[in-house]
Amino acid sequence: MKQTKSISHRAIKKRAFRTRKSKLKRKLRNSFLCSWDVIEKAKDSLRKIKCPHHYITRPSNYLSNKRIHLIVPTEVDYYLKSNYEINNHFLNQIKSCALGSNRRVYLDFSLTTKISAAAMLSLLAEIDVITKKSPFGTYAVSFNHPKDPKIESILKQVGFYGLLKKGKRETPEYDDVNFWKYTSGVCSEPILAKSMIAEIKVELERKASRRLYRGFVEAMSNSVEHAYTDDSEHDEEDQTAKWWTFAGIKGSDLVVVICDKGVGIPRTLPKTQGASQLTNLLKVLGYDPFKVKDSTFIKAATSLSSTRTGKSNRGKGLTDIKSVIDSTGVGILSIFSNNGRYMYKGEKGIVKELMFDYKHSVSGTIIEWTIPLRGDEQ
Amino acid sequence: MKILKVLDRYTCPGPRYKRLGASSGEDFKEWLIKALNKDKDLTVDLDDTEGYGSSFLEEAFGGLIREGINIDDVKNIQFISNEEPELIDEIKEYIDDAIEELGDCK
Repeated sequence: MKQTKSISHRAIKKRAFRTRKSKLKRKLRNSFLCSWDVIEKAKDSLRKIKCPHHYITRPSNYLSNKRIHLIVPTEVDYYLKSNYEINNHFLNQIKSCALGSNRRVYLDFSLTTKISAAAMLSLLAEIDVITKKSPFGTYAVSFNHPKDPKIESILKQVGFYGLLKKGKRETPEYDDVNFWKYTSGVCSEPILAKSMIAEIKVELERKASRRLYRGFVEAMSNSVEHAYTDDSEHDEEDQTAKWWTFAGIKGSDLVVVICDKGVGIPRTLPKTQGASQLTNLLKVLGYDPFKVKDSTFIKAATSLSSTRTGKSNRGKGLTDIKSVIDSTGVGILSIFSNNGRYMYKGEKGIVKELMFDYKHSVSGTIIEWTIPLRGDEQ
Repeated sequence: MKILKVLDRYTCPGPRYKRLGASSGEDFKEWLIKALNKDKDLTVDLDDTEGYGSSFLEEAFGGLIREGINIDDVKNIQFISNEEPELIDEIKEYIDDAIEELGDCK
């Protein structure tokens, strides 16, 4: 009789253990959309139940060398709203993991099938900042060779492999990939802009290329002068207060992108223009100054010169950025700053401008010009 | 008459201030002041550079007024711009705005 009781008690204990383990497994499975720390916590709970005696006591300042596995989105892209939210959520994950918790990150590019310029530049800029700020340096972020050879070729071309010091493999040559040029800097260095757009310049009319240079230099100066003012996260000493650019050809369009990881136009505009000037400007544009979204701030910044309400000798930079599209008569300007996006399609466009506001922030400013090449223009 | 060719010093005109980077409008302004001190009859040739940002032009020419250079001397500067003739009107606008702003301050 005693023997039976003992067996039944052991069976109950075993069943309870299995139930608990299965619950934790389900919890881990269901947490795939959660942030990395929730997933790690779920993994740790499961490990503790599997190996109950495997408790390790660590000092409070212990830095784990174990990498956090993060899956890169299938489409590294900002053009679609859903992709924009996914990509910015992913960037926030990397940032919170590598800088917030000082953990190493492993980026898994296995599922990635598409990469577009603005989103890639934003990812590259974020990784650059992480490698400079993390105690692990370049080892803070590692990644696998993508399965798609074109994605691998893009990552090689845009300097992702070089940034993280990963050995390159032979990949097929792609014409549209080889044309991409990447550069970055701390000061406003127009000579870099010259060398960068030197090759693509031949594709544009002389006047359009001068306008593009103008917009590019102003965007560069803006990021050096305003983007990192009052920014506690980035500074010049550790080379994180900088700008990053891409220029290249996408289909039949010329694409030029410049990005900074500063405080964004919605935070700099009230400081550069002052509260009363900004209120006047918003009223002129027909917005309620007390209900302003990030995209409205961007629009206001690009309208400073035309409305003539801003400080007369300042704030014309974003107008220059817009004038690139006006000079060519075609093309699209897209400005992402914090949670807002402003698109300008030129005076001749059927829809002149579009504004969007998103849930996630790009943590900085990205300016992108898409200009049809000369042949298509004619 | 002295002709100042921007290309002689700046192939790639840059930002507004020296602290922001090389080939700045502030730097160009100092060059203009030196040239104006030597010869009031000045012509600025804007052609053959990569292009100009508005901050560069504003700081160089609007900045001359803010530096206290004689308004007539600044207004007397002649320009050559065959590649982008609209730059001349833009510069004149910057000079007028700076004069207006100076008047408001007084």
